[in-house]
This record gives sequence, C-alpha cells and structure tokens, in this order.
Amino acid sequence: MPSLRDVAKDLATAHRRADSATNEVKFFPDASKDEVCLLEVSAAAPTTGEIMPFRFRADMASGVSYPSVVILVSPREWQDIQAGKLALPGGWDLTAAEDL
Amino acid sequence: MPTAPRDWSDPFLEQAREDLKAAWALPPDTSPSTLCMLLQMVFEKLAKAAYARSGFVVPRTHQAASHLFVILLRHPAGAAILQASPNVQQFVLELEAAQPAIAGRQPQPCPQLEYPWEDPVRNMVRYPARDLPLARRRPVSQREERRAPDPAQGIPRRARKRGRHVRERRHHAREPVVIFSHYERTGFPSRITSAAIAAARARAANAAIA
Repeated sequence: MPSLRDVAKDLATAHRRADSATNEVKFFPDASKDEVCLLEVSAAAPTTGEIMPFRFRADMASGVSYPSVVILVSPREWQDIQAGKLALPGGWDLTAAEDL
Repeated sequence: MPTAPRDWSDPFLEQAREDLKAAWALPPDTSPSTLCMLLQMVFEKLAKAAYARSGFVVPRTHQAASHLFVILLRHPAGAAILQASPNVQQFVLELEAAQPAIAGRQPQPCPQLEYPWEDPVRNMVRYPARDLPLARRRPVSQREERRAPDPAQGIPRRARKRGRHVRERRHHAREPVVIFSHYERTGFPSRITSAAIAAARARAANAAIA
C-alpha cells in the first residue's frame, strides 16, 4: 500500500499535467490520516475570496488509494492565505505543508 | 444543534430542480434571457450542492460553477467530460459571467442577466430581454433538427449546404447528454447529474448556440 505522501506526489503530477496553469502544490501531511490533503494554486481558478475544499473518492483502478481533498485557489487568494487574510480549514497547517 | 455544510447539499440540489422546473415550464414566447437566468441559477446551485457535499463549506460565491470546472480538470473522467464538451462549458461560463454580481464588477457596459444595465458609450440603458447577447442566439427549430447531421452517420447533403452552423447546433443538442452521462459513471452524485442533464437539454432545446 503506498503512503499518503506517495499518492500526494502522484496526484500533484497528474494535476499539473491536467491544468498547466497550476504553479504551486502543497501537501498537508498532518491534516488527515486517511485523506490526501492538497492545496493547489492555479491561474485558471477564479478568485472567489473563499476557500472551497472539494473531496474526491479513492480510485483504486487509477492507483489513487486514498480519498483526497483539494483546495484550489487563485494566485491572488494564495497571497491572501500567506498574508493570513484567508484562513485554511482547521488542521491545515501551512508551516507543516510540503511543496510537491 | 447547528447545521453542517453537508446538510445544505440536498436543499441546494432540490432548489436547483425547482429552478429547472421553472425553466422547463416557460411558455414558448418567453424571452430566452429568462431561460438563461434560470439556467445560471440552476448551475450555480448544482455546483454549490457539490461543494457542500464535500462537507467543508457552503460557498457563497456566484462563481462556483467555473471553480468546479477547474477542479474537475483534476480528475481524469472530469477532464474527459470537459474536453469533450468545450461548448457546453463555455456556455455555462458565459452564463456565470453575466450573473449580475459578477458582471457588475467588470468594465461597463457589461451585459447581465436579470437586470437592466447602463451603456455609457451609447448613453442608454439596456436590458436582457432585448440586449443580452447570450439570449439573442437563435433557437433551433424542429425542422433544422431533422435536417441536421447525425455525427455517427455523416452529414446529409442538405445539411452540408446549410453550412457549419447547422452541424454545430446538432452537435450541441447531443453533446450535453453524452457529457453528463460520462460524468455520472465517474461517481458524481447521480441526482445532481440528472438535473444537469435536464438543464443541458433545456438549453439545447431552447437556446442552442448559433
């Protein structure tokens, strides 16, 4: 069974390929023990001013062994997150996040 | 006990269905702009239902549908759906861009659903029933539907003579059903899918892209 981190890396690669406007992918290893938690910054995302996590189910057939939660933000929203103006869900600790 | 975000999913879905029913029930002589307004509401609520189902938040934004499209790109099946149907996606994005709160933030004049808007260039007030570009697209007649090509069987000679727009209209009429059927198989909540299919059919029947 691959680790959450392994699946996170695979997802990051796949998501970058699918959306070439994705310029940052952060993995939050401590946010959940059984879900891959990713924050992705894409210039293709509209700036809504909201954090809207979206949950995908696991897809064993495609090698995605865990459910995943993706927070997609625009570059402007990413700036607001870094500036503390936009809050991530509880447990999503930016200081512990890993670049993928 | 306070409600959880997930509690909002079904109500958004049910309200989307009611909006959709209203869209279906419009008399034939209703302005297409009214249909466009209702379909924008349908898709916004469907997208909000999908986000609420994830269990984190209930979005307030009017841009939930376009946000969802970018999310869907990240799922192989979702990407296949969107890539197979760029015109439907484009139609929904245009509807969303015309939502009054979104359009009002754009440089003016910017056409919008539901309310009149000012055209400072021509010094006049415009309104959706007359001036909304999305609503001015010509509906598809049954006669044109019959003449239009079946992609599986090639293009009939008469349709070929009529040119590209007929082929496109026929394509648009079929496309949404295929798209959302694919989507259904990938695990997207089927009730949302059914409503989306119906919305797309309504759109194809009443405001097909010319």
